[in-house]
Amino acid sequence: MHNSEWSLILFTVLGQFSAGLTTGLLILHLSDFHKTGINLQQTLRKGIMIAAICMVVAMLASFFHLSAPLASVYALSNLKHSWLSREIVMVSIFTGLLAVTALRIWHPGREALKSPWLLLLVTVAGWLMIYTMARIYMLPTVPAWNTPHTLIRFFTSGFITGIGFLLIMPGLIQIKHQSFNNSPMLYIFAGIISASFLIRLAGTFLAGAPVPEENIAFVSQIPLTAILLPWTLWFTGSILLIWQVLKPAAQPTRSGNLKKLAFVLIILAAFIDRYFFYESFYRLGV
Amino acid sequence: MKQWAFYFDASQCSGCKTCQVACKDKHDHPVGMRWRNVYEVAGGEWKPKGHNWISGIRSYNISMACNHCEDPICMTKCPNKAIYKNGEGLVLIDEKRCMGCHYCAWACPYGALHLDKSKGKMTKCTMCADYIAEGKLPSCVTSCPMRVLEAGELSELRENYGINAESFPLPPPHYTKPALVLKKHPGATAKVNWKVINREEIKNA
Ligand code: SF4
Ligand code: SF4
Ligand code: SF4
Repeated sequence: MHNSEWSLILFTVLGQFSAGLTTGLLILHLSDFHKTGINLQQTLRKGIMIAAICMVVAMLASFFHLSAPLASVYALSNLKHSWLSREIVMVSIFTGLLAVTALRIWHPGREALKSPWLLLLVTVAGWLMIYTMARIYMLPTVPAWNTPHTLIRFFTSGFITGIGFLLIMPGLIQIKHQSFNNSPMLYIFAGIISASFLIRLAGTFLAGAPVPEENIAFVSQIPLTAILLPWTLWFTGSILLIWQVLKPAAQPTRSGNLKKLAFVLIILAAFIDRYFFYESFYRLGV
Repeated sequence: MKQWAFYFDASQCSGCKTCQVACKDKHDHPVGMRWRNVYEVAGGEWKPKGHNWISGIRSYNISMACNHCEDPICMTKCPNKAIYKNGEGLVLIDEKRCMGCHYCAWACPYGALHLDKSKGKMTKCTMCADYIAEGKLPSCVTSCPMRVLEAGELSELRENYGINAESFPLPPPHYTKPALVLKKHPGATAKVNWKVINREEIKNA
């Protein structure tokens, strides 16, 4: 692995997953959860804690990418020009806000976050983090990454994995209330996953734009399987999840297992896709 | 401000790689690390003519290190401000500030940045700044047996040799404004399938 260090794959996929998960939690908070029988407190607790743990793991992983991590104390020096400096700020803000939210929810005697404002703040920070993450790679000298497809890839990966996970979280998966099965919220979640999938598909065509007529010594050759494999997994996982979420659950246990399987396919797709994203690196010149 | 620059004459370079070796020797680089690289470029094809095959193959070499660009993308992208331009126009790395994130190496279209694995810090050609301070020329320049490398003030080199800084596989100069004047190999203007043919040797150097 030359550019596709495992640490960066783990960092970006987990970071985006956390941002997607908080987005789902915010939607849950703003929606008709009280009519569905969902224990919001329990779901928020679990969701925020999982998002926070993933961000901590992501941040730890990111340090493995650095050859001299102690010098990272200077990493905020170039906020004016470097998207990497800006990304480090956003990762810190997002993780900090997640920690504050987790402390608020887990503080004994506290009710679930009554007002959604803190969650809204965390979610917006998560989106800004994904944006800065994508901009890092959009270097003018790297045509393989300098395309809106990088933004699409990072955002949709976060939404599909994060919201996909919310749909298989134990707090939700075991809900047997008929009211939840009919909740418009499920349609919203399914809609976000489907829309993300379709936007990704459209984005692939943007990425397929011809390379400008400039000098490039080493163009990377990505085999067709590298494109087909993650796409097959994205497609199968998303369809299976949406189908299991929207159809009335006659056998909740079986349906729960199928949802879990769908999520495994989705997360596998995210990791494989990110691996090939890094492998696709080539730049102008040498 | 002064702007040191390289001049390279691709029309006369023999591809002997003495410049590469002289650089390694001067800076005592370990195996695998090369601040200067010679790219062997070839293109064209053999064509049948009657009962014979006629060679339409062309080739040339490009000797390349950091070009101490006027608008260095490595410097603007580095989050740590570990890369700076000194009063002589040399682009240098402050080792203390570098965290080894590789971001500069991704961005530089001249493949000029190389990680020193033993220190975990990014390194690159300094144009032998210590020699320059002593009034001497860089090691690659003085070692070249064909005398096709020169170092000097950018404006003077441009006055003497023109303003070109591009030849396959180098990028168009507007990305970083390299402090480089390059005399193209006459064959390099042909529209053929140019390739760097010593890819294995150059890759990841
Ligand atoms: S030493 Fe001179 S002739 Fe030999 S490869 Fe280097 S630039 Fe070319
Ligand atoms: S050649 Fe590359 S490393 Fe050197 S100054 Fe220009 S952008 Fe920076
Ligand atoms: S590797 Fe060092 S010099 Fe290069 S961008 Fe990172 S901190 Fe800056």
